[in-house]
Amino acid sequence: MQEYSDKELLDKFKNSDLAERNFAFNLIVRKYQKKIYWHIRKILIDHDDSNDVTQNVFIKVWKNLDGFKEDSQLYTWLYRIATNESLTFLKQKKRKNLVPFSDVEYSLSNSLQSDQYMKGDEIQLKLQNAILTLPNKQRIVFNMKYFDNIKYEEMSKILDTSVGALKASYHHAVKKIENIIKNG
Amino acid sequence: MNTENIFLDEEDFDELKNSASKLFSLDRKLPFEVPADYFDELPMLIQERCAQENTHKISVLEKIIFLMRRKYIAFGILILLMSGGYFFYLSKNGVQKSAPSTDEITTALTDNLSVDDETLLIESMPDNKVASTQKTDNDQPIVNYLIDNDVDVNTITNATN
Repeated sequence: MQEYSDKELLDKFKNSDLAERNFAFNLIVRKYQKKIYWHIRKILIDHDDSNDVTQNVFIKVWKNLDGFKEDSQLYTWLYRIATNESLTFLKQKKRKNLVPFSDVEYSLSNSLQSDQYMKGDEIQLKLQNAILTLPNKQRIVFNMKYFDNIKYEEMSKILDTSVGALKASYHHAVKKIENIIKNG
Repeated sequence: MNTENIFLDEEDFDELKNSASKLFSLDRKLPFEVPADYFDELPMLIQERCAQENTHKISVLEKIIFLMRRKYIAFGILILLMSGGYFFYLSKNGVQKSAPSTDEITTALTDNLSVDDETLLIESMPDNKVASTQKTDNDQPIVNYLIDNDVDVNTITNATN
């Protein structure tokens, strides 16, 4: 299959008839679905929740792609939507269940044990449990750097936070997780 | 299982190596899995949902137009009723035209009434009573008498009643 650049895909989406728009959007989904899904999965842990939020993210993209100004990269924009949608989902879950946020973390931790789409060795689960002790935004920063190796500059655009703050956040997260793994 | 193992930038690599040796030594693997063919089917699921959203969007739009149309029809009916009421009010008031003023009557009479007409008018009045302000020669002795005896109009009124 021909590999289109983001610019070409966006042009195709914005300046074509419905069939071409659908085609271009399908290509965008295929290009970014894995990155977006795994980003969300690392935040929400549970597959079903991640699946729902991933679909919501792309529907939001479908609705708003015409208004996408191309000031930022498509990839940055998609990550930003995915992050916001995931955090909103967690907030809704907290409100729906009327539980404090720590209990939502507990339920995320439970998902690690019970989700049928979870298969890792003991140390990987231990690492995930340690990551879940971090505050949400710090957890996202850690995941983006440790697993995805996203540059701080990119991360800064996605999370709308300064590079310095992101570096500090990652540094604290690493220390905390290291302690948990060593002592746990 | 997601087995992507991404290596960090040199700076981050060194930082991790020095400050978190245990974390550094781990394989950067995620313990998560997805159902078989998940990523093959996901684009189709998303397209279906987008199509549903489109239909929903159209139906919402139609609903708004329908509501707006109803609103406009109601507004039109209201305008018609108000216009009808206004014209009814106007026509009713048209029958009850206000009486002409004294000045208007005087002007009309002065312009259009001849001496013959005036006589006719006086004759047509009940008992032929008409107040005349014109003095005649026969009235002069009476006037003189009233002035000489200092008789005012009130005395005459009281006497005649």
